[in-house]
Order: sequence, then C-alpha cells, then structure tokens
Amino acid sequence: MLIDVITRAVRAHGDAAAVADRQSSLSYRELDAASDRRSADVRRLLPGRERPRVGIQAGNSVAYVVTYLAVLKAGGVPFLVDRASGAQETRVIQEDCGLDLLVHEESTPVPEHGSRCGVLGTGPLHTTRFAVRHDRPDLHDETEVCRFTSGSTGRPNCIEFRGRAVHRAAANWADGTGLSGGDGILCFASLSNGLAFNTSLLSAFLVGARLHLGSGLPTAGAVSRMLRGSAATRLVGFPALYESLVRRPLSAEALPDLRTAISSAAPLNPATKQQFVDRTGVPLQNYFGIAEAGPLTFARNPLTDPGLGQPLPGVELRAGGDGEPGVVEVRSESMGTRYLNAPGAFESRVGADGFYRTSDVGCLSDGSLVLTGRTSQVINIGGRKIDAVEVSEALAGAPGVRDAIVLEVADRHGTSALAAVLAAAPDLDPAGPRRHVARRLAPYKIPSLVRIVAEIPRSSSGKPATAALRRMFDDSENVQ
Amino acid sequence: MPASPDDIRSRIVRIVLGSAEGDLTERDLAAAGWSLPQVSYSSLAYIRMIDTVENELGVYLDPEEESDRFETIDSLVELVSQHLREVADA
Repeated sequence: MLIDVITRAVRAHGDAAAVADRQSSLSYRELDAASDRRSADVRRLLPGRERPRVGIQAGNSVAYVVTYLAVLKAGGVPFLVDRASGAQETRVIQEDCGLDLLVHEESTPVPEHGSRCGVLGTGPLHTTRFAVRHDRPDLHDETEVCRFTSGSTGRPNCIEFRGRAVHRAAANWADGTGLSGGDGILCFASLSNGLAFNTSLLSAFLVGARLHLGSGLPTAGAVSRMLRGSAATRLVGFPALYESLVRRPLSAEALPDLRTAISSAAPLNPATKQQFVDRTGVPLQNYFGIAEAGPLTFARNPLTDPGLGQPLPGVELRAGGDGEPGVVEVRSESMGTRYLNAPGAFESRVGADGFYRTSDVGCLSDGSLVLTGRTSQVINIGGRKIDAVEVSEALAGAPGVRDAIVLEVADRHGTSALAAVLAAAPDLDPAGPRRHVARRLAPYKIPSLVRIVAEIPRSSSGKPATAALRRMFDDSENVQ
Repeated sequence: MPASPDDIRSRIVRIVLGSAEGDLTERDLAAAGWSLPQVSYSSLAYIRMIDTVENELGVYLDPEEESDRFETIDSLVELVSQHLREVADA
C-alpha cells in the first residue's frame, strides 16, 4: 500500500523539517501526527463508506499535504483536482467519478448538490459531502490515487494510479536526479499537476528532503524572496516562472543555495533557458513527462544536452532517430492504469508490449529525447493543457454565437495564447462570450484573443481552415 | 519630484494594457469598470504586469497576500501608491 511506503518514509526522518508554506511548517514527526488526526476527521465525515473517493481542490499548502496523507490513512482514494476548476467542471468531475467528499478552500465554487460540512479538523480547508451514487464507475482494485488530464472530448480524463506506480515515480525521480536529504525543494507548480506531484511530494519524503510550497502567481519577486527565505536547493515551476525571473534583475549572488532549476509541462523558450543559466550559473532542467506515465527523462549534463535528457530509471523510451522523428512511446514503472471515466481510451494507446503511445513526436539524439512536434491538437498554455472542444462548446453556447473554434496562437509577446474565432454578428462584444465561459470553466480557459467573423472558414470536407484561422491573429503587434 | 496620483494611474494603465496578450484597449477596460477579471485578464498577463510594475516603479507586489488588490485599476493604483510612500519613508 502507498500509505505504508509514505508512513515508513515519514517516520524515518523524525524531527527533520518536512513541509512548509508561508504561514506554517511541520517536521516529519508533526506531519505524521497531523495526518493521523486529520484521517480520523475524514472517517467521521464518511461513516460506513468503503474506500471513499475524496477530491482535494486547493492551492499548495501544508494543509493540502496533510489532507493528502490523511485520505490515504483513512483508506480513501485521493482525487487531485485542479484548484482553478470552475463549479461546472468540478460538478462534472464529481459526477463522472462519484466523489464522496470534496476538500476545498472556503472560496472554491463547489457543486450546488453537495452538502457543506464545515472545516476539516481545525481547518483551514473546508469540506463538501455528496450522496452515495450506486451507478458510479468502479475503481480498479489496485487504484490508490487519481489525477486528471485534459481530455479531447469536452471532459477531463481521470487517470487511475496503482500505489506502486506513484511510489516508483517518486523513487525513480529521486534516484535519477540525485535528490537527497540535504535538499530543499521550492515548488510553485500546483500539487495536483504531475510536475509537482512527481518531482516534489513523495520524492521529497522518501529521501527526507524539505518541501517548501509556493502558491499564488510565480512572479520573480515572490519566487526570489521564497528562495532566499527557504534556502532551497531546487526550484520547480512552469516556464512562466522562469520567464518572469529573467524579466527582472537576477544574479547568482541572490540565490546562493540554488543548485538545480526544473521546468516541464510546456515548451521552455531556449532564450529564457540560456538567460537564466547565464545569469545564475544554475542548470535549468526541462524534463519530459506525461500525465499518464509520470516523469520520464532527466539530463545528466543539462548544460550540453541537446534535448530533454535521458530516460529515468524504470523508464524505456522509443522514438525516431536523428533526422527521422517518430511518435514517442514509453513504458514506465510509473504508468497509470486506465481512465476511470473513459473506458478503453487509455488502453487503446497501449501496445501489446506495454508501450504507451504519446501524442509527442521526436527522436533520440545520443540517448537524449528531442521533441519535434505533436500528433494531437491539445492546446498548452503555460503548462496548462486545454481541451479545445470543451472551450468551443462553452463559447458556442453563449448568446449571439453561432459557431466557435478555439486554437493556440503566438501573442505579441511571442507566448502561446488561447484564441477563439466566433461566428456572430459583427457588433457582438467579445466580453459577453468571455463572461459566459468564465461562469462555466476555469479562468485559464477564457480566450485572450477573440476574432468575430460571419462564418468560420472551413475546407470542402467541413474541417476548420486552420491556416486561415491562424492568419486572423497575425496582425498583433510583436512586442518582443 | 514624487509622481502624482494621475501619473501613477496612467503608468499603471499603460503597463496593464502592455502586459495583455493583445486585444485589450483602454476603452475595453473603462467599459468593464476598470476591472481586470471583467476583461478576462490572464494569469500570464498578471505576471508580466507585476514584473513590469516592479521593474519600473521599484516596489514589490505580493501575489499571494495582495492578490485581491490586483483586481481593479483603482485598487492597483492605491496599492502601488501605498508601497511608493513606504519606500519614500524608509
């Protein structure tokens, strides 16, 4: 069981510092005791429910980590829900997955059919309980943790993970990246995201490292203050964090303890990486990982590596050769089992030899994975994957909109942005459809750039004319 | 000479517009009651805006503790002005 692995690790490190946010901190001993108390609170809220399904929808905090451990100790299955999810998205997740309980922040817009049950233990997180649904999909017998990935059908896919997969993801990451008990990790990625979940949560506890949790926007000012205050040796964040750091004055002297910086989830601008390294002397690792299979690569020599590094322990990769890219396929010890709410979809991507076919195209160059493209049109804005179908459907439901297409374009800063082309009357104010989406979906799913047309340009087969749609956004002034 | 409130406001508006992805105009902001959430200001735009304010005006904006004061141009101007006074008094 995963909780046995975690409990052994936590108890091995005693009074060493375990986890901290800006308001509080716990030693390993205190983390163990706090999660024991909180697990009793979880059980009290869900009497008689077997293997309760508990969603955790909150920002990074000590309370989040305590709750995660507490759910496992209570014999439950934690479902890590994106904090930014809107009420409708959370309702879809709750109904699709049959959540029994949602642990959330006071301000979280929770589904209206749930019963608010007050704070969990002494707080600060709140709880909302849901009636038992007897027709909910059965969990796989060995599932111990569930996380989500953007689907391509208008609903997020819920990935089921065995405890062993979660454990191996963390252990192989710690082993393959040289993480040790002397390290302190400052993590600004959300714990519900694979970037944080795999590099920072259990991996820190396995080796007895300190985990410092940043929340809020990862601006250079906030990150550098926390780095100095925590004396962290590792920094974990999305590319936007590093873009912010290089926009501000930054020098090696300001970050005396930092040894490694880690980015993933979205392409890292090579110029950003080079500027960061030049100014700090700290290697910036841009590793490859996917939600369904965990962290997959790490560069042994990040300053000279041509790509995203070599396979981590427990990972096998297949891709094209130099000059001949192919679909990237992976077999890993950290692989998920299936999608709880999309039967057969996960399995259809796994071959007879156990390799998972990713949506990435690339090649192995001197053993390092170099990505060259993608086979799907999943949109990636700053590390957040967005299902274009979900946003298009929401926009098409707005008053005055006859049709909608959502796509990813480069904005005038040279950064990926979410764009929409709406078929509507020319005097339609884009603020209306944006507000319509804002009431339904997470804020990052609201298109930043909108064009209004009489009809969506389509090919003779009826497919949207992507090239023509993209050209509509070419007129933005480039400010970089 | 210290910047006047009007100077600070015009600089903040310029920075907010310049940090957006591209479509936002001062007219859009005014029509939305100078509210950034009402114009769907993105998190990436917020990060660019905060960086630029810190670079140009030399004040630190705390995205965790002060985020509720980033919501309108008026509250942003008030926050930045407060920090500028603190810097001047230090």
